Amino acid sequence: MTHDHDHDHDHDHDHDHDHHHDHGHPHAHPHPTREDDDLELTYGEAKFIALRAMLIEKGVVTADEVRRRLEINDRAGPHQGARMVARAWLDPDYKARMLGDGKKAAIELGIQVTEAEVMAIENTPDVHNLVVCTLCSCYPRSLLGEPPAWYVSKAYRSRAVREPRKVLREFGLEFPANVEVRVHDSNADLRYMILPLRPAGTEGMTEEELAALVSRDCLVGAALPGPMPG
Amino acid sequence: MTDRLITDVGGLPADAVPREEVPQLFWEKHMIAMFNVLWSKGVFNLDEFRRTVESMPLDAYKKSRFYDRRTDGMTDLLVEKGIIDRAELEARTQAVLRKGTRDAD
Repeated sequence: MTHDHDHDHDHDHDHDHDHHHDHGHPHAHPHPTREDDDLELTYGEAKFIALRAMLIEKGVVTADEVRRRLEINDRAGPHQGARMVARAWLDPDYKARMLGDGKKAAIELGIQVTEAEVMAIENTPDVHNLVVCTLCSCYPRSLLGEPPAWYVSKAYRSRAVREPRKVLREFGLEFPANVEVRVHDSNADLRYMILPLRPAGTEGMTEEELAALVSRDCLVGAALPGPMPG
Repeated sequence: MTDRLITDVGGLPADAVPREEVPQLFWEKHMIAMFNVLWSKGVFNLDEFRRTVESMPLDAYKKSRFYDRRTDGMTDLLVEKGIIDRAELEARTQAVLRKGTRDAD
């Protein structure tokens, strides 16, 4: 597992000594290579910077705790959900366990799950499933990472439950009338992920090859598995 | 539908879903991690956080950004619990803005 070194920009140089490459380099200048640093400091970001400093001073959190959590969050992403899907496609016993308890099935693959409960829902030739969180942004982040902007948009939250076929059409998915479209509303205690249908012509593919077919949007039902375009 | 919570938008009419990919900024990711730490340490729970969002004035909610709602809600709870002084936070926020860099002090 390689680190993506986001924490190098954590600006804790006064307090931390685990950044050996930062020694003698007191960060008096901005980081020219960090794209975010080119963006103007907003009120929201400034408020977070101040809040974090205050909470560290008061001992409510430590910089290290926050950074460690950031590293855990960084390991989450749709590649984790895709691993589960690929395993389920190859191993009917795993698939049964995954549909029985999504969280346990994730842990079985060594994925650190921070959600209370995860339910995997299987697409079939007769039923296509779509996930939404109408109230906000509940999402199985451990398995899918941070939700895309469209998922948290008010337009998606409003429309997915009323006109899912129309929304899916906007995403380029059209289902015949005999395929039922079911919508699942996630909440803080129960978050859904989709187990898509294995595409035809993928017999003989390895688990890794299969996982590469499963994009982020497949895992919420807004896309179908397939090779990366281009 | 006057008794709807402001967050309860399911089924309301809305425009096309915006499909643009918006990458998470570092501070947003950093803030979420801090939110997660506070929550897992039991400083507040998700239901309390949801209540801060649900009690926003409708107009403010409509104009608000996703990550700002997180920071603001977290702040409300920390103030409510006597952990953070709102005036001090505001003063320090202004100091960060005046300095114009991403260092806290």
